[in-house]
Amino acid sequence: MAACSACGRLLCSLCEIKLDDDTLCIHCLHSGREKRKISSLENKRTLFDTLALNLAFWPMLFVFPTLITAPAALFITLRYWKSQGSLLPRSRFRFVLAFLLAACQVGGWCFYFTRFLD
Amino acid sequence: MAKDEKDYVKLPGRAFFLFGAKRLWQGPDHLLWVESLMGQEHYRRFYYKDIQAVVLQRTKTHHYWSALWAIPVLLFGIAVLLSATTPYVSGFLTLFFLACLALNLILGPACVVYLQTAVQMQLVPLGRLKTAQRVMDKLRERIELEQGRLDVSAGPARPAGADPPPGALHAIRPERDPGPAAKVTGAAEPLNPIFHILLFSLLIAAGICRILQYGAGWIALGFLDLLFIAAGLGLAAVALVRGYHQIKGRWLGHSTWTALIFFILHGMTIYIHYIIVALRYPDLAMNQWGMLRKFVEVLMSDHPATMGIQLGSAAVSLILGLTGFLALRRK
Repeated sequence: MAACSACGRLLCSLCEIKLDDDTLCIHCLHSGREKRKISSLENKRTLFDTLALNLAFWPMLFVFPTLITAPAALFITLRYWKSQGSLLPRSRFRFVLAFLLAACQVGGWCFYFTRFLD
Repeated sequence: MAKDEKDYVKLPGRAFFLFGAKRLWQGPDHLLWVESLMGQEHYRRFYYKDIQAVVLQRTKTHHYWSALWAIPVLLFGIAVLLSATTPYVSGFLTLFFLACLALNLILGPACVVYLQTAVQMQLVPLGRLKTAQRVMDKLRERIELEQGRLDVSAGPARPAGADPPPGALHAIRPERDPGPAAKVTGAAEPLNPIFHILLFSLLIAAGICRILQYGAGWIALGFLDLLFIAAGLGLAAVALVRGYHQIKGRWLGHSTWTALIFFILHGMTIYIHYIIVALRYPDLAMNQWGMLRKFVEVLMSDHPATMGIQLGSAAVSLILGLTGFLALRRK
């Protein structure tokens, strides 16, 4: 007999599931996978920092789409700053770079429209 | 219960594909395969206790890359030698392709590496022999920690009195993966190559068209070139989508992806060119047909940079078309 590490339920040898030095019941395993609390079971993650940097950088080549993509990059940076990133070691410099690029683009458009309206 | 991110150590080697890359990371008790695509990462774990074998097989891919870089070096080198004026563009392109050739030679022989477990034979993104050997040395240490050291002198474990099955030593040779569609239906659908044939034919036609632009000077050829780029983008995308599982990992798949990348890059170059022409001739801003005509005329002009880009893309287009047809014959 063993106890589930997450909920404390007593488990027989057939029901216990050993994962990462822990013993889990099927419900906690399923719940951990659905709520993304068990990183060993995760096979996909969204990288919002890469997404924000792509939105901030590539549209610059075509100039006009930055009117939409720069605010989108700023939103993604601020909204997902604290979200779970990659499973791998990774710093936040992509978020910082995306924020700076997008802020410059937004500032540039504001300056352009202000001058145009004048 | 979440594993510490710092447990993962980067392994040498990386494989690139369109908009993404594949890489291996070494974890405490498993190997982590990471596929980065746009803004997502996909993971696959191979636990050291489950790995039965790591198979390394040398290939001739680096010879093909050497030929691919050597041909433009030769073509642009001849252009440099025959040029009457200072050959800036041809010289730059010659040096660029020469650097690519040198890099390919420095990276060394190519190989494919497979990880064998009880349920699969997985191709691993290690394309060069030197890198693969470094990774295999690191993996060997971790696998031996989990499974114990392999006693080669003892031979394979067999039930007492049992003879090894015929061809047992060849069992490790991996079968070509037919793709998930075949795993579900039990049989791979045959590839209909019509879109690939159209794509590679269009590449060859586009290459010839660009060369003729400078020979004949017909402005209609310039407009035809733009149509070829648009049609090429669509054909490449359709060819990839319709036959994705049949061509994945094969030479035909690589040729089709390369054609798509080429059309995207060439399209971007043409767009940037158009912006430059639009800024240079603002008086034509209200006359779209006049602007387009002026743009095509500038594209067909004798300016060294424009001519270099057009002729370079013509050469790449012809090479891609011919290699595509070769790949079709090999499928």
